[in-house]
Amino acid sequence: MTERLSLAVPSKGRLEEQVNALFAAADVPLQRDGSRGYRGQLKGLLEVDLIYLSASEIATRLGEGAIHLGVTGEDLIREEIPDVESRVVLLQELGFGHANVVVAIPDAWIDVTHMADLAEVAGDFRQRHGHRLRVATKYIQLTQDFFATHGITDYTIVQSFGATEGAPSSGAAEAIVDITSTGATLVANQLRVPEDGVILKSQANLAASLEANWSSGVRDTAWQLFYRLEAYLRAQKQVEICFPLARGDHSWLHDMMSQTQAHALHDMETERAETARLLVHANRLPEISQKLHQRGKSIVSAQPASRIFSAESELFATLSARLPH
Amino acid sequence: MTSISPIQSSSDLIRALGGTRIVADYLGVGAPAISNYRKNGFPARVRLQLAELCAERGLAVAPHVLGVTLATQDENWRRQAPLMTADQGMDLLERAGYQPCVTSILQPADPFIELMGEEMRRRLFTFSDPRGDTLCLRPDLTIPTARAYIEAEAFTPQYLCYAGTAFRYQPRGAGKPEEFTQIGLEILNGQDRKADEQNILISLFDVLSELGVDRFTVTVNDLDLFSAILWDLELSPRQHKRLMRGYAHGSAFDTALDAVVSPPARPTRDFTLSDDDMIAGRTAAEIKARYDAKLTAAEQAPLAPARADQLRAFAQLACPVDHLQQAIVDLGLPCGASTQAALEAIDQRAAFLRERLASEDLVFAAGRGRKLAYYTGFMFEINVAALGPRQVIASGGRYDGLLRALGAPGDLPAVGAALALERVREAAQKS
Repeated sequence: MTERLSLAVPSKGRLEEQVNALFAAADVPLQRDGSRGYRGQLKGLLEVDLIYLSASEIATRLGEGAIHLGVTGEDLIREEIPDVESRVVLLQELGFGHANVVVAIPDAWIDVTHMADLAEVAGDFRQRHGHRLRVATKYIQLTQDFFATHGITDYTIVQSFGATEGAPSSGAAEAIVDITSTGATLVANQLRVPEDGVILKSQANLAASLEANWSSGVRDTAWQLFYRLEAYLRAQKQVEICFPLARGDHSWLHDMMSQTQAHALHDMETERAETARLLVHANRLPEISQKLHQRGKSIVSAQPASRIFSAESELFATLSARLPH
Repeated sequence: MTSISPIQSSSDLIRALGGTRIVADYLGVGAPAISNYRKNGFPARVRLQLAELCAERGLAVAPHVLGVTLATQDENWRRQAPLMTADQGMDLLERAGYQPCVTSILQPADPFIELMGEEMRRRLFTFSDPRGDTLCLRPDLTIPTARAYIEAEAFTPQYLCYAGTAFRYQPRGAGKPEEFTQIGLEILNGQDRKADEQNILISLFDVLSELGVDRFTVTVNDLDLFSAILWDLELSPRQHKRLMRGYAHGSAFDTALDAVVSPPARPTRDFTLSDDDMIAGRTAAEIKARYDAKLTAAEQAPLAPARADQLRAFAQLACPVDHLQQAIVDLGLPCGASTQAALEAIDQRAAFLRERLASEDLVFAAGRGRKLAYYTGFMFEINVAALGPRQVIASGGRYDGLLRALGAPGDLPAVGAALALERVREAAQKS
């Protein structure tokens, strides 16, 4: 039984660069053994085995329990792992690697604006054209699930290993399911996404395998990793604000904080503090500062935090809730 | 030489003796029983026999494998009646005029993927052969039997019966075997629909009775009833078709209802292609015709939300067949001429079933059987409630579209039923 935590990250491309940047910013830089090696370490967390794999293999290994943690696209996790909900936990969306998995049909099929239209076209396709409607894709599982929820059963999947968007014009298929980030490739191939044809809005995720062996040593290492990652991620979303406190402000402050999910950094117990220091969500900052203006604080300053450490790891809590005790 | 350590589990012992088939033959039981032995250990009645065999072969076996009874083992194993074999059921069906039909366990996957519906698609064990063709282990024997009928190309009325192993994936911990025995009967291209249905039901009841199960409930459903209700609502053909397709596929019903209640607005678009241009397999004329039909349909009245709620409630309806008409009226749906006719057809079948069942044991359930996509119209399930999650011991119905979908020249009527032998045995023990 190993006491080491295995973490898999993408071995090449844009995704590798973005994962590198994230871990470096979170004070656990990835150190690859040679620029094309398939092993490595996390500086500052030597109990982690770093493994470089292709993005789809990371998904497969998560499903098998061959690795504890992995960074890869949600699209691949949902495609590659049958019964995914019981085997893998998506812990954290990482804010990069955005791509939508979509259905696309020829733009000239002006009668098809919704999946319901595609269901009807598929329904008589064989009778009219001698074969079932063909859908080219590498996302077989996602396609089957999505088509089923739209009641489409009369179709065949043509497995595609690349350049899927060319299938309708080459005559290999009538429709496709593929990923797109800007939609430009679809337009260039005279394809269009039906209005309700987005299957999944995917991005890179930190995911944990429930099939892996989570010994207590491995859990401790995971906690250490999450602790660092979250300190950085939290600091991306929250800012610190300061303002003077007047007599009688304290109960008002309590209410305001619970309404806006803010955290106090000053002493709230003794009600002696003269300056309030709060951590607030950056996207609620205008709302909060205006509440403060109404209370007579005409100036509120805000500073970005570089790290926000918390004694409680939310990622660890999410993971432990799904692991046997 | 290292000394061989004693065999520690039932599964290892079965392997050491030569595998499932050999052990099954030796003990005179079916393969599914062996698979149960692998999971649950050996029942008391086979232990002596196995111990003798191991002694003969010089196999060292740990004492707990053939000795001590495992605490988790089901009490029923020790009280089990003498094992009934599939042969008993088949003999009876042959005497009733059904021809045995043998099909291969290994089947091409496509017909199952296309015809069985989403629920079953997820249960399919599929794999590729070296040529790259996708094969599967048969998840039921109806489609293989229908394929055999079509390959014979006679298309005469035939009464067929079969017994064999079927395979369906079950999530770990579901408590259902992935390998089970089906005994079934089919009337393909029969000439008298009503008589054929009754023949199937009588023969199935006789087999169940022969295997020791006389007390059960029957749950019926009929897609024609839902279609009739839609007729009485006087929907447009498009709306009707849309809802029917959603209803038949279960999971898509809500989407279909939403689309009929609030149809999306139709923006007009320029279309500059000439009629014979082909776009991904469809002619411009075909696209244009559908587009125009959609514009016309957009002017039709959408379904009232209250009506949609009534239809949604109907899709969940379960009540004794005797109360069916009242239940439909209570939902607020109009019981017009079409609905009356469909109810009458259900009543006629019910009248026949009532000769064998107490009326409270005959139930209508709109949600049943819809997961097996090839059923058309009438379908039924035989339930033994005492079995809990395994309570459906047999099921069947009409599948008039199946033979055509598999390649027969035209719509041929078909009706059939199958029972799950292991569940029937379990039911026989409990009764």
